[in-house]
Amino acid sequence: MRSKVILVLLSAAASVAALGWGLFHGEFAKVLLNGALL
Amino acid sequence: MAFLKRRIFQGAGTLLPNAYVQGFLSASLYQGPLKGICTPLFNCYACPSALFSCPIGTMQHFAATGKVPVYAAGTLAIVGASVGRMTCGTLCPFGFLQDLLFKIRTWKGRLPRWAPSLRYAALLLLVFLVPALTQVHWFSRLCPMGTASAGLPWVAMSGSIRAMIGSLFWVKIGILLLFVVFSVLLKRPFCRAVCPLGAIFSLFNRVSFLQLAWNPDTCTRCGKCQKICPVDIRPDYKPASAECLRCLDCTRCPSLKLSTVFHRDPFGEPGLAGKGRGGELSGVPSG
Repeated sequence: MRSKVILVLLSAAASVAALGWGLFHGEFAKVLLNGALL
Repeated sequence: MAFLKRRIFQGAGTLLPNAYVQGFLSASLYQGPLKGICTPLFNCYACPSALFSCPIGTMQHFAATGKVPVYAAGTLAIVGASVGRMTCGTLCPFGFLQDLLFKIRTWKGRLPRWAPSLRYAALLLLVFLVPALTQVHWFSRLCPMGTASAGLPWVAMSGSIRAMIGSLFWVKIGILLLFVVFSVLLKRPFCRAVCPLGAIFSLFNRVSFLQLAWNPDTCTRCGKCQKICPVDIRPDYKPASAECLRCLDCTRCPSLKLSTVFHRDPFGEPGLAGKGRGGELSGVPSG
């Protein structure tokens, strides 16, 4: 039980960190460009 | 009732991300700010009516340019960590199509047990490795959802695109037809054996916030849950299975219900937690 809770919190934290990093580095714009170019 | 509700969600998951009807009317692609958002669904962004981006196409783009797709990966990981594969079961348009095709009454078969592992190979090879080596989005080029929702409409709408038809187009049509036929005979063959998006979400199924809980005290092991399961699994044997789409069809049985990882005792029967389970969550067996 405790390990599952720790894992879900860790995976949530890692995913928020990845999303934040991506947004900070302008990947949102790159995805937009990618979609617009297709 | 839950089944009907899922069909409504699936209909919404098909229509809302494809709400740019003007794309079909004017033979153009939507290029506004929403296209920068990755949907947690298998929905081709080259479809004339698509409002959002496909996360698998985005990941391939980053693999082809030698970069790590943290934004797309983070978006998928947030969804996966929250609900596991629930978007596959309740919103995905291609999953919806396969569910409908399986309703056609004919001989039905079963997918081999080794087939689900193929989707991890599709993710690693066609989404990351091959695009990184060849700078070509090979999964998107062969994707049956792309052929159905983008390739065919564009060929029908544009004479210049019709003039570009080559052998690859017929390969794509062949792959689409193959999955259409398989979907009539097997439960969700694409989702289970090929879908790289499902492969990513299935990594989170065991640790996602939402979990399927099973009550061993009331379960009679009748197997009806497997009959109604869209991916043909036994949720009573493995409620946290990587194959489970969290469609919740099986929760029609009172022995199965939606819970969260924080629920120590989802069925409200004190004393089960930790007893003979090595501290596992009661009603949510490991698996």
